[in-house]
Amino acid sequence: MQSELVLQVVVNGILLGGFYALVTLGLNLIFGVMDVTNFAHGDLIMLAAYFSYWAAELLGMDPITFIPVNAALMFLVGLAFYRAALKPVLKAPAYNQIALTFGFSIFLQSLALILWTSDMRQIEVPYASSVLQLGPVSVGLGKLIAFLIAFGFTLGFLVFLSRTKLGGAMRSVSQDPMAASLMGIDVDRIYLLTSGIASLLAGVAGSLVTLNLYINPFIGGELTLKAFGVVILGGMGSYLGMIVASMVLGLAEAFVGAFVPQGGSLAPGIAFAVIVAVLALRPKGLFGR
Amino acid sequence: MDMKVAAAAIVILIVVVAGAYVLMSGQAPSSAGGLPDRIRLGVILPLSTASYASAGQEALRGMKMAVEEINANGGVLGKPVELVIRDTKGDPNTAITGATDLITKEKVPIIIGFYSSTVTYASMNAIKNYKPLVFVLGASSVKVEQLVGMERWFFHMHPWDYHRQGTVIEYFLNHMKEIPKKIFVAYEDGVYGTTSYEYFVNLSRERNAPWEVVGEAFKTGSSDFSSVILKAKQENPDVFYIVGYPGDYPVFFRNAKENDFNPKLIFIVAPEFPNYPKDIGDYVAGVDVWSPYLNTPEAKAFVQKFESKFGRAPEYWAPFGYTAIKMVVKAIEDAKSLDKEKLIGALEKVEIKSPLGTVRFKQTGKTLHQVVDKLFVVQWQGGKVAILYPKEYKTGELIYPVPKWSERG
Amino acid sequence: MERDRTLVYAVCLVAAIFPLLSGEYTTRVAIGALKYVVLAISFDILARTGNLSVGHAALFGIGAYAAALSNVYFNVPMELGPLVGGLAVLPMAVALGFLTLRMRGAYFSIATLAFAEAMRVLFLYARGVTLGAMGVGVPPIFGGNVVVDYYVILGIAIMSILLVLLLEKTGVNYAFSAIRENEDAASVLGVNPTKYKVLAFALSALLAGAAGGFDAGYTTYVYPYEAFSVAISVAAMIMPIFGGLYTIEGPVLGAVVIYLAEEVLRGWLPFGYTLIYGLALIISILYLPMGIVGLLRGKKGKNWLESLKAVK
Repeated sequence: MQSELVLQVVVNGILLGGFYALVTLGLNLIFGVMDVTNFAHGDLIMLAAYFSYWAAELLGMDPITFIPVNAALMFLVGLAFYRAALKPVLKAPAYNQIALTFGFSIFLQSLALILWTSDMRQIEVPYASSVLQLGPVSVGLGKLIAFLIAFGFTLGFLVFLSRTKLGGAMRSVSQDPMAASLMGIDVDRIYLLTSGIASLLAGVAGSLVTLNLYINPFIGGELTLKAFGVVILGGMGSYLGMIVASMVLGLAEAFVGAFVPQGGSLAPGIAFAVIVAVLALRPKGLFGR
Repeated sequence: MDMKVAAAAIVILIVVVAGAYVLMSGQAPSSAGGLPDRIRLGVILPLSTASYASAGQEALRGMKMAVEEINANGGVLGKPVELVIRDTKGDPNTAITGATDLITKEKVPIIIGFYSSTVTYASMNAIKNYKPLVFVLGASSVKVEQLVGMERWFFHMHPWDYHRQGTVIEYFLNHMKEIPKKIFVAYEDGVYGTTSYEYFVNLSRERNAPWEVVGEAFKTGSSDFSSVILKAKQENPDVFYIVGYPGDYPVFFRNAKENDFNPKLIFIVAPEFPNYPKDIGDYVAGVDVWSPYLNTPEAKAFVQKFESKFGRAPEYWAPFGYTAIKMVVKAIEDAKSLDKEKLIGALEKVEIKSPLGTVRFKQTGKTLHQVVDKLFVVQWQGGKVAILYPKEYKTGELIYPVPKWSERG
Repeated sequence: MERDRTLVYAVCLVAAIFPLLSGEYTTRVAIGALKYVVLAISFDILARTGNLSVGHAALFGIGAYAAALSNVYFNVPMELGPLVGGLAVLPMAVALGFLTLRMRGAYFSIATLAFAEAMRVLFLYARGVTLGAMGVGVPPIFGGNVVVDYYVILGIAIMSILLVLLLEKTGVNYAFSAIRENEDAASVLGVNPTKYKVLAFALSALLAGAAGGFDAGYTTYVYPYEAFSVAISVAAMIMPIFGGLYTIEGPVLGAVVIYLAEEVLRGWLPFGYTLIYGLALIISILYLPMGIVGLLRGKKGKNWLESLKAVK
């Protein structure tokens, strides 16, 4: 029983970790390329989750088939978000970046409250509650699908970054915008596209949220903080670090939840404790630049 | 701004405050004796917070239905009834401000409402100086009872924790084919869950119940309870008993299925939400204050009327809101006045037939004025609710143990 | 100057007799606004050293709990709540000051936000001491007399304003500004950043803790979800920014304006009245770099957008 249980907890932790990686990706990208800390990242995911909910309620669309549409919608949102919330504070002091993106975070939350009220919403899909029995371990189909899509997108994005022309341009801008600009790269356009892609990834994450979870307008805040936890543990702008840190966080939450008395109410605090502890020891993050 | 200016300002302030104090006279709000041209009843409910709003809105639907009926029949004492509504946002500060507003500014003769124990406790603590007339719908925590239960101005509808847990234990002990040997209680970590769990443990001990109890707290409104489910799975209990809010149960059931957790029975509080057959499926049992499947003329008429209005069966709080307004209006009619003392006297004597059965205020435990003190045990079977307890309302037998997840369609 | 003085006298006079002119409900609204005046000033003091706290609820909540728990365990009267709350947060603030010393910009903000959330989890979890989510019920401060409550919180607000005046008079504020503008340059000039940053943290915490200690006795009930709520952190951050950072009247104006606006908006936007916060913050950063005060004084202030364009 005990070893089976540990195995089950490990599986639950990994499934959670894969989702966290996708949640963190957009935040990490904007930080890496533009050096802006986006406090509204989780709220973009929340917005996408509601798009997915609307598609299911009004058009009867399945969250998974809606992913491409949601990604495209969120890409446009990302372009607008760049113009409104990122561009004005690109080279400004951290204070302006924090305040402005935080302002948009509250703005998006309030908008969601007005549009959808604070009721918990959920999309009922038949496969979300189906269960696969893999030997001693059982896996919810919804969670497994979400994990595979999240992992696929994360890997796909990393390939895009390392293999395509646009990805290369993004990398050179993130290393040295001045030099990139001298090489003839339109830095502003790269920034714009980066924001679009980060938001697109948030769109995919938002679609996956609705597969397994109840949503309300406040889920973004917690997701933002979890993403910060991952980034601070894995290093701002580092993608390998991000994947490892996501898994560490997912597993830590699963283990504390299952093996510490009353751990269910302690698990959400792990990410917060990690942030405070790591920053106290290494003020620029564990692998900070 | 320099120091001199500031100093001068402070001096002025102190002088004025001192002067004001001398001039101040205590003004207690007086209750109106004469009848206004409308009978305005204060209502305070959580209408805009994630976990509580749906309950508050449902109670309000019931209240408005009652007001419509009353006004369609010529109102009370020839005057129309009107609700003065305040939203608590599920937050103590807002609730206190709203209640104060109703007492001092709106000067309503009675305040009806309140839902969560936490907000009710804070509000009663803050407004008890006024000794306002309040009729509290919800709040099952005895913390509230200890605070104001014996006050003459406090009227209470919902059963207290000990009524609910007493019913559950009585059912497990004396009405099941086999008594469960191990019960795992998952309870929300707020006032309601925590006190429920404590009562369950203490009353089990008092009644020499032969079962072992294991408990685990969770945060209401979470989107994943896998950790609690896995802990419960380790314990392998006969009964998995969840004390949470309506939004929590579907998540629990989904996680139980995902982690292949198969207790002989999953038992919850308030299982009669119309969407549960879809969200949760059959076989879930639980303890409830009321059932839309009750076979009395008043309950049937209420359910029918509600369904024609809202296209679904009423939930938990609708009959409470409806009945509360009916009781208060009947008392106003009997008292022929809005005077506080006369109204208290009339409320103490009021007795009406309602969807909840025949209701009146009686003294139970440490509460002077209590309405509901008996609960039901029910189970979803084939998309309908079977009432298992008490005997006089019984419509079916408990299915126990329930089929495993893998055996269900 | 003359006009300023008259204005100050007028404001003081109105503040002094306010509860006698108005009903209890308006007095309670005023108490709420004054509570946020204290929090906004507290945030502003810390911001003067260039540190943006997004977790002010942590200081507020610990103050509230200190007051409530000392009443439960040691029968300390709630009337001393503001004092207990303020003093209890001090040692922790000093420790936090040292811990966060080397964090710059966004890292500091993320750390404070996470700290407030971590506190909520901790206070929920440590049920043996804090009573967990059951919360702590306490007797009302001054027997629940709203008029007295008003004067108590008014007193705390006035002391906060005097404290800022004192900082500006003694030149401490100059040191704060120097650190904010350029920490390295400040230390070359002989300003000790460590000393002043910890001092700013301590003073800021003293006020936030006092507000929390007052609030505990005023609402007679403290529980983790409320005491450490993000809403408090958000309000404490936005009010001074909207009013005008690094000024005396900015945080006061910002707190009063936004609190009243929220009170009005809540009437006809039960869902989403928080829009006012988001808009206030966005407008401040994009169009009102000096907040309302800058607008009133007709000063352009240092607009980051302008300086950006100059660079390009």
